[in-house]
Amino acid sequence: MHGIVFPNAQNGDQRHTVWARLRSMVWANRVFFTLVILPTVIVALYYGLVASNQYESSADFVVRRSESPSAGADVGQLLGFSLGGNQTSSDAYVVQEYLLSHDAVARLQAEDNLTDVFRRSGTDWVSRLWWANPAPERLLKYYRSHVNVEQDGTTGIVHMTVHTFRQDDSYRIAGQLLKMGEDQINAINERTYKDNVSSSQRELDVASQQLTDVQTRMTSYRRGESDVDPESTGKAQLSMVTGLTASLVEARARLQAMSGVISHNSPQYQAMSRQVAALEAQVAGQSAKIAGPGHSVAQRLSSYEELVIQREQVAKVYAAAAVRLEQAKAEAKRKQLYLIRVVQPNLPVRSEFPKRGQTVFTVFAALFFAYAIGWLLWAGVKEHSL
Amino acid sequence: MNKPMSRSWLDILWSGLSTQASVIRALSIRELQQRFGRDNIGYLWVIAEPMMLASVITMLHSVVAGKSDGGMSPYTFMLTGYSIYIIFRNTFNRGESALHSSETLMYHGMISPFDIMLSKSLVETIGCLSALVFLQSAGIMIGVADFPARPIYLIGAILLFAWFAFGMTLIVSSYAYRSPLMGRLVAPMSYFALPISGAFITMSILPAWTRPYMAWNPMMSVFEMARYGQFQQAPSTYIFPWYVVTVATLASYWGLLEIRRVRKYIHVP
Repeated sequence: MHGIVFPNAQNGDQRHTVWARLRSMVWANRVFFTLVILPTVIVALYYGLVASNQYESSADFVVRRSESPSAGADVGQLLGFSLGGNQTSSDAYVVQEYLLSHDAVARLQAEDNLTDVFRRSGTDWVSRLWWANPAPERLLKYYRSHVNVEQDGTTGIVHMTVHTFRQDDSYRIAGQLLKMGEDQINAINERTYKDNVSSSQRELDVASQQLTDVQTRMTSYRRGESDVDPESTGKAQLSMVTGLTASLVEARARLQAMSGVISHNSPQYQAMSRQVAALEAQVAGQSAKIAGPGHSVAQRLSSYEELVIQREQVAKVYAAAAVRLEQAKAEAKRKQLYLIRVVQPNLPVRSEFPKRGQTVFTVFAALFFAYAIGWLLWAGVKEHSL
Repeated sequence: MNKPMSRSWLDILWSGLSTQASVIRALSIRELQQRFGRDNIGYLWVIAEPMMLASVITMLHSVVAGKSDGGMSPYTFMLTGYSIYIIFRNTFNRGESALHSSETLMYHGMISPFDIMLSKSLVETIGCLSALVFLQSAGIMIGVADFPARPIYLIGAILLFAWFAFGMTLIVSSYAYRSPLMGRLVAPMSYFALPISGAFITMSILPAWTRPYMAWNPMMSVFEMARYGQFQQAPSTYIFPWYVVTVATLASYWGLLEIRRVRKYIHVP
């Protein structure tokens, strides 16, 4: 010591017992002890003696599509301010949001008696759920403090933890939550599948209806005209006329050749000229059938061809709709979400919560920091007051 | 039992500690007086100064970074990074002139260079910490920040960093006292340390091949730890607290040796 003279030094310090020394020390630093040590001790006592054990069951899962669109880099990444690699999938957030929603709580309440789980007998009064029939909002808040679902930013794996006061409760709720997540994913899949496929399905239905209509019209036409295929009928007619015309020309030529040799009254000549006349009549008659007025092949053919063209159009539409439906189905399959369980929920054995030491130390450190800041301010204030 | 003149070890420890504590306390208040005076808001500058720096830098970066991904708010990201970094930067930069300005105090036998350095470090650290607390609270109230997800990690990171900074400052101040050249180099060193400190970058955005090298940087580990404490979704992959403890211990040890040696060079008028 260098001969320091302390203000208010306790001259003749007779109290040499450790206890008395401790007391004087506490009294000298009473503000510090009241603001930092005392609350820490209270918290430590609560956690050490009162707080009930909580058991954690955890499970990991991934939500994936069969194909995932790659996200482009954002501006932040380009500027180098990005906050870390990003493998998160928005699909996983769907499940995450759902599992922490009032919806999920309501379902758990209905199926698993959530309030009972959080109000097991033998749990301490501070950490248990305080109300027997809590308002949904309160239950949700409490539930969120005991159930945690978070996504790892770099791997995209969703990590879920459930804390309750009993081992089997934790295990059960964790399993139930996974199942609920799967149900949710399936419901979403069903919706997207329906949405994607139903419109194409409708188009296909319309097209096939039209096709049937055209087909019906064709059949009734054929029945009415008693003609299976006006086109080939016309062709046959034409070839017949051609044949007839050919024989007519031949007959005429022969008649011409004859007329120079034999008299016109000879029976041979008579027969030939009759033949020619008959042929001419036939040719005229058959030609009229092809393209004459009234019920000719040409007319029938035009209305029949209209029908054929219609049928072709409708068939094309139908084929396209069928292709689209197939594509939509494939697309919907590609867009399907899968919830893949990476780690199954475990049945906890040892209680690891609450983190007693960590909590107490956190409280102490935070109070100590607060005290340090407060001391600095107070010191300044004291300096000002002369 | 208790003869006069023979003191128990407890006695020695207690009186030594209480003397040390009162010296540190007095020196801290003196530091406040010396640096901030009594004009306008006086000692409150200890908080206002880092707060101004931190808020301006934070605002700039948040505006540039825009909408963040993965739920880390840029405001909080920058604030955590910068306000913790200035703990190092301020103490480190002050270390250059710290001993020169307090030479006259050495006249008092119980004031050692170590006490001076410790009080200066404490004042800086508490000031930056207050700035962080105030700005963070403001951010939470406005709604651009969240309460730290794992406070214990954030607190631990700040403590570790303050300790590390203190060790480095001890070394630098004792060398700077003896060589002016060293003193000139202090400010650039702390300035260039910023980009590689990890205050504004995470391990995950660095190219993979640099990570093993960056892992040797204790500051990087500290900031990863602080971010892990602040953000729910920050990864804990690159946190090596024991490595930082080792580095801080070695730095403090070296610093203590150097600061003890400095005493010989101090000429008290």
